[in-house]
Amino acid sequence: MSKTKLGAYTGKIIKIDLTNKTVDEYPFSDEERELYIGGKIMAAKIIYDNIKSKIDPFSPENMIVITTGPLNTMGSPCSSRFNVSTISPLTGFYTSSNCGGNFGMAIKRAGYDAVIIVGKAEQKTYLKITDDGVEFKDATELWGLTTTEAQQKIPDKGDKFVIGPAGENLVRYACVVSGERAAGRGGVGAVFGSKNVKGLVAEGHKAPEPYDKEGLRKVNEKWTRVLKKHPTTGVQLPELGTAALVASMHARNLLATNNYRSGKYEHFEDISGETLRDDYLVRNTGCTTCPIRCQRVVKVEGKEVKGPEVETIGLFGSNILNNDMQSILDWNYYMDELGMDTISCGNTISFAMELNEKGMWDNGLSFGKIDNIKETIEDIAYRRGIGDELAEGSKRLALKYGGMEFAMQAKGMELAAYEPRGAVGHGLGYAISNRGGCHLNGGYLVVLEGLMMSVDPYTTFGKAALCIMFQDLMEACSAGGNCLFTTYAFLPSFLLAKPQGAVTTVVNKVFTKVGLVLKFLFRIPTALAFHLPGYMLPHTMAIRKATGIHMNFGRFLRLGERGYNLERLIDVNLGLKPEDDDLPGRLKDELQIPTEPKSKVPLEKLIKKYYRTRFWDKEGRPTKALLKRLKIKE
Amino acid sequence: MVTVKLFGAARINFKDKQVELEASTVKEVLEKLAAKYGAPVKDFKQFVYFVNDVNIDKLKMYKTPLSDGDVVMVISLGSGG
Repeated sequence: MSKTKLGAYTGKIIKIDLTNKTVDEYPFSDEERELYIGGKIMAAKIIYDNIKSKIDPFSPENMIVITTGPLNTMGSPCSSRFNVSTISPLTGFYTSSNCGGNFGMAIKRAGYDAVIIVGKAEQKTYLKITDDGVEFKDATELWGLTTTEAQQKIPDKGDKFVIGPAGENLVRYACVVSGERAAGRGGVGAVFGSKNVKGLVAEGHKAPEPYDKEGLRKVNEKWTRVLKKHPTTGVQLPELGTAALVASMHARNLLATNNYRSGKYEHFEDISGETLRDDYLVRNTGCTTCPIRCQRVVKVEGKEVKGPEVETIGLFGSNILNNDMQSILDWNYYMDELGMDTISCGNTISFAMELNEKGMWDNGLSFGKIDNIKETIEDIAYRRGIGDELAEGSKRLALKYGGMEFAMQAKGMELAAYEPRGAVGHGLGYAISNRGGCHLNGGYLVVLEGLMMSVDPYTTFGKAALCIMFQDLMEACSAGGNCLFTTYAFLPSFLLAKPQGAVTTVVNKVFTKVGLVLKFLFRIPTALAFHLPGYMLPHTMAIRKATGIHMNFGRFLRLGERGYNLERLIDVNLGLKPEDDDLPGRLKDELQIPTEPKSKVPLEKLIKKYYRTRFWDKEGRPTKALLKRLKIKE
Repeated sequence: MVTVKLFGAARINFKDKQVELEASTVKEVLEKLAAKYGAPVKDFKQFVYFVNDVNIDKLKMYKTPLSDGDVVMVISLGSGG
């Protein structure tokens, strides 16, 4: 019998203690479900309640929290995403990493909203999770295998989620892989490795019932139609994948090039989404429940494998001055097999190249030289030679060899492929992001500052409030179990129809004020108590129909705000200081374009505005009044 | 003669990677593209235009003059990363 009165939830969370080989139910009330809903926010609540001070991420004290979202298994489009949260070995702060594929839905069908893993297994282990409970199984034979090999060798039926050699060897940016999808960022794979856990297999047979099945079906149908019709999710992403952005990023000085010394790459066409489609694409595909189908299928060594995303293309292409697309496809595959985050890996390698160029570390890596990259990637995964040092990430390398001003990381996690001096609000996001240099947790303002809208990329006006609005919005979307690509329909088609026409030009001018207006309306409890049109934000209605939770636009933003502040509180408890909200000197002090005096990130000014607009004190801590409003207990 | 490079939805819709055109303004580029592909000019206003890597909103918009050898990039809006 379900322990929840809400639809879409199983009502059960389990805590697996690897040290003692015990499994207990973890109490989580319906009131908490309504406040923290699922995904990364539910995980943040659990970690906030259990980790109150600085810990060694590789110690048994660290916990891994795998959470589902209420829309998983509910038939909503792009809703198979699940979340993994832990304390990151890369940053020492909270990290959450999101993954597509079927594993999260299998966990839910097995009867669990979330699975918590604590302690450390004495022997190499994998966990089997089914409707009958949890089994601790011997992983000795799996240890050392790549992610595909391990998934094939696990004899149990079900969906799998495993680490590769990089996770076993505690590479600080190791990921976890399910099918071909990865929970990529923050080093979650290394935490699995530190606990002697190779992976999990989940199999279940019964999904929970939605609160209003017929109502949800109607919302889902309309939502799917919207995504299929939208120019981004219906055409560009399926046709060209995320690499569609390469040309636009180059044109707008946003494409990380030569270790972020430029935002333009002369050979960008060779690594564009168009070239990927025309010369390398076998077909496109996607996660279960996804009508967008952005995933590329390409060939590596004669095998059909998952192709790279724009981040990988930027960081292993323009950022190391490499215009050989096939090499990027190859390395992307090797990193997936070895279980490593391509963003941090690429960024750390480009930093090492610049250290070598400047005579600060003789490591054999050079911009434009690609014949030793495959070997370097393998050396990192197995911690051989210079790979052992590269496995520590760029911040630790900078502490040893110098060059912190051009180590492209924030809080210890490497930046994504967007060069933020061409979009200063995006730079603010990198600096403030709870999990370190992340474009998504940062608010992804580059979407407004060039990629989809043309809000002035250099102004600081309104950027803090916009950053907050988009951080909160994406936080809530993610917690529901959705792919963040569903949020692109938030910018309706008519705005994109004539980007240089009069209407959109006016909207671009006033958009900087949207965040501030919303912030004002937020203070009036009933002002945002409505659903945005279904073509913009169907998530609120879908969650309401699936769960019965009284959701609307205002509550949705508040949910995101609650999650974001909770993550911040965890980081504060782990020792976060205002000086951690920072960017490398290159991005703050050096002009990207010598003739454009605004082409650097005025971070100090942006951070001050951000703290104030977030209702954080001067130390960057959420104020007591804010916590009370968000119903977060200290 | 100017070189017009097509990206994003422009490449998807019109198949060509690049075309060479005689045009003295960006407006003329739109008109010639419309004639070439048999589509109304308004269909080409869904794209953003860069002349020699500079957004035409920093120049004279569709009246931006073009010279021999100029490169016009036709880019569509999009996201996802």
